[in-house]
Amino acid sequence: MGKKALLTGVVAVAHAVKMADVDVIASYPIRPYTGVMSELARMIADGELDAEMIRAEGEHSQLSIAYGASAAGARTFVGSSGVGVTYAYEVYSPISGARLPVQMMIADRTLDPPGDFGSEHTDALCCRDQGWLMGWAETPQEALDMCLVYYRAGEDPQVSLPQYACQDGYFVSHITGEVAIPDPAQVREFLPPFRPVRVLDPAKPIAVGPQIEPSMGPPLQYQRYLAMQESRRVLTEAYEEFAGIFGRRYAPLVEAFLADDAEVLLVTSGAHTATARNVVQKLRGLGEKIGLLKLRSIRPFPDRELAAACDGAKVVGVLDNDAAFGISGGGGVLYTEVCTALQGGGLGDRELLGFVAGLGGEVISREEFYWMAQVMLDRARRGPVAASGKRESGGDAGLMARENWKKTFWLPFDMEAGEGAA
Amino acid sequence: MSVVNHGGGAPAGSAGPGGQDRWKTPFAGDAEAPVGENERMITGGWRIVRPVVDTKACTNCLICWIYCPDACIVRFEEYVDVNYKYCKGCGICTRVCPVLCITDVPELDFAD
Amino acid sequence: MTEATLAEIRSFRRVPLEELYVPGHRTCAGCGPAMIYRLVLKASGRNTILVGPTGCMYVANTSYGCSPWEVPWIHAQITNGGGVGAGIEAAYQVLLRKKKRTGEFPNIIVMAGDGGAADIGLQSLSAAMYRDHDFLYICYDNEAYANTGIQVSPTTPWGAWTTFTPAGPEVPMGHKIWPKDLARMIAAGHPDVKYVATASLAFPLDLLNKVRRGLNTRGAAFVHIQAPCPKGWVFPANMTVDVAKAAVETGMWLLYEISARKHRVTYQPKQRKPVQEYLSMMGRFDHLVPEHIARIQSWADLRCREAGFAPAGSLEQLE
Ligand SMILES: Cc1ncc(C[n+]2csc(CCOP(=O)(O)OP(=O)(O)O)c2C)c(N)n1
Ligand code: SF4
Ligand code: SF4
Ligand code: SF4
Ligand SMILES: [Mg+2]
Repeated sequence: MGKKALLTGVVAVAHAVKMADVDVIASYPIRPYTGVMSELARMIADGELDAEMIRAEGEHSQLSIAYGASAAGARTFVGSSGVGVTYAYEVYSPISGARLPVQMMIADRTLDPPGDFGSEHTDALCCRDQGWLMGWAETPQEALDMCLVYYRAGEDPQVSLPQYACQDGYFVSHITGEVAIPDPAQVREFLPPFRPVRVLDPAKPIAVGPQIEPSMGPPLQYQRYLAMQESRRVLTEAYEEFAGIFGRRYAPLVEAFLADDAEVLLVTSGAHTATARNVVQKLRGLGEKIGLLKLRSIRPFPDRELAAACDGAKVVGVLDNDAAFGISGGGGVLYTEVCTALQGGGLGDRELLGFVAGLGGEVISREEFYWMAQVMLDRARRGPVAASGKRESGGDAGLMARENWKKTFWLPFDMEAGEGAA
Repeated sequence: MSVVNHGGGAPAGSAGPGGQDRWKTPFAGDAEAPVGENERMITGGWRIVRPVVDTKACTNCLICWIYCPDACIVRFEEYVDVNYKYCKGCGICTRVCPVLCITDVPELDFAD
Repeated sequence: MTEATLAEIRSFRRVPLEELYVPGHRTCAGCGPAMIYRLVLKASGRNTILVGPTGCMYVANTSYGCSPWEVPWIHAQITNGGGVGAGIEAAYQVLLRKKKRTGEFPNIIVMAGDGGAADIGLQSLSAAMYRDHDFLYICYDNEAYANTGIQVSPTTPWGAWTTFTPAGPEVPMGHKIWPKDLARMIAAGHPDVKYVATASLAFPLDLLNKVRRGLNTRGAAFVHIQAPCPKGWVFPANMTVDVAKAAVETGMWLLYEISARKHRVTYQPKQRKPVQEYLSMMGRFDHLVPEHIARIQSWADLRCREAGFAPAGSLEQLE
């Protein structure tokens, strides 16, 4: 049987990496993710883990080493934060393009400037379209479990894609939580040894990553597209089997909280969800029909699951812990994604609002979540907009006004300016 | 037509119009290793001059063989000759032959 | 590198017959780097994994989704040949140790251009050498970014024309920076590197044996090979060997190896020729005037002295 311990997010991941019997690890220091590598180095020094740990000279090389090692058949692990994540950018597409299931742990950190150690999802979200699975863990336990599930799903021959296993810096990486450390035998049952689709081996020569002719472009990109699509099913199955073996059940892509009959839904990801959940629960107690949807997976983005979960809601608000300057809608990355998933930017039966908060690692306070909830509830009370774009009551003048209502909010500024009311 | 999406099992997914072969793309664009020659890049047509070996005069010293960038000098027991399917006509062999038994002949002088 | 030691090759007849870099690639006629690629694989044999950073030897060799190598090859970015080689090495070390795979440890060879080795990929190369991974890094040095259409690189000679360093009234010499000395930089700055050598395609047996010595080394090895490029240096395709030979005979390219920190000159011209003889073979130096050539001559003299050439071989002695 496994045992329980109080672990931080980074140490929890180190335990998962050890149990996954990872072969090649490439490190480079940057706060706040660094602790996972110190812990792995300790495990190797103490003889608990047999792996090649390469102290790379930068994140770009961490990923380059992982690319070579994975192509040679090794299970690989790297990690980073903030500008380290963006420094390695060149190598992300070659890794997914060669279909190498490298795992990268990201403990979020704000990109410079401001010079800041605080958590912000911008670093990881910059990389969201590189052909990697991507999702956020909310607690150290989720971080440990996600590491195992991602290796399993990413290495599945139907997927064969790398994975960004993200956790909020400090809020998860450095805060201890109770973690059930699984039994190694269970891990072996859940996660078979890495059997690469193909491997660099003089006995079976192939060329990986040759130049192509233009007609090969569409099908090659389409392959990655299909693999990403396929990962929805594979992730779902993996979480199902995970529940059977370890007894912890996760909604694979979107986790709903008090969402069934909710008229107002807040979409979140990562550690701030804990505060949001708390506020939602309080408001429920006061009779408000509010619920919460946590995105466990950002890539693949769970459009269908999200749309199904939002069915019936009058207002959907999206929390973005990322800065996306000039983005459509003026919110964050997740706001535009949710708008696309729900097909519409605010007209129709449902109003979609965006909240950018917690930038630079600032805590998103309960007051801020209350305010977001009030804005959403207020919009819901004003009644739906008909699918035609016309309000059920009021004429075109009303519609114009409604269209011009503010849809996205930067906190705390818009809160303090009293921008919530339309 | 199908796009092979993964390494194992049946090809997954399909796309595009028709049933063209051009959609049949190997996993991740991997290329098979060649055997003996790479027939997908036949370069003999590049030649403007053709190196012709006087095989009787050839001393089989292998100097041209060692220097051919395209592995187009073919070795025989007593002499060497040229693989015209791929020879690019760079003229290096002609230049390095110590007994001057290779001649660069303009391609236009040949019927084939 | 491999458990079995690769033997010294003493004559052309002993050079392996087997072609692992087969006919059928889009490199230019007379391409020096292609000639080197073929020789390198003759030295290493089948138990080899190649890493090919972006550059001519990636683009021209794998055009249209094909491969001219009978051994496994993987693309690397122009930036990361060292890192990718290191990753493959680490994987083989640990997988063999953990018995997750069987078989022999392979010869891992990175074939990088001068841009990929001395410029944008220098950090990756330096770190891999510093960490002493068991692989061979070869820089085929055509003294320019060739694949992008001949732009200046840190190994481009002073006075050379490139598309980024054209000569004109304001800049009569064209390129006006002296090149990095990559081999000496690797040797001097990376104490764990056991083997560093320079080579020339005009000396094929020497080249083959240096590659083999690099591969026989347990740990990181670096071989820097001058690679004349007819297109970029502007000379006729049949002159590749002559140009390479002239570089060595004029002291513009020095042949040596550094093994176990001992420096050994492996060839020196009996009577070093004036650099003019080398420069005049190529269009890239056409614009130079005598005072430019004199500067290059002094540079060559200095380097020969520094490299420990016996005075008998030096031009000063001849004069
Ligand atoms: C990050 C990056 N920047 C620029 C390029 C464009 N690029 C492609 S090939 C090449 C030249 C490579 O020069 P070198 O390494 O000397 O090899 P050569 O082409 O001369 O054989 C460059 C700059 C690239 N592929 N990647
Ligand atoms: S002309 Fe060039 S390619 Fe043809 S055989 Fe001679 S050296 Fe080889
Ligand atoms: S260099 Fe001349 S003599 Fe020597 S093998 Fe070639 S053709 Fe024959
Ligand atoms: S440009 Fe130079 S290096 Fe590139 S293929 Fe042509 S000859 Fe070779
Ligand atoms: Mg170059």
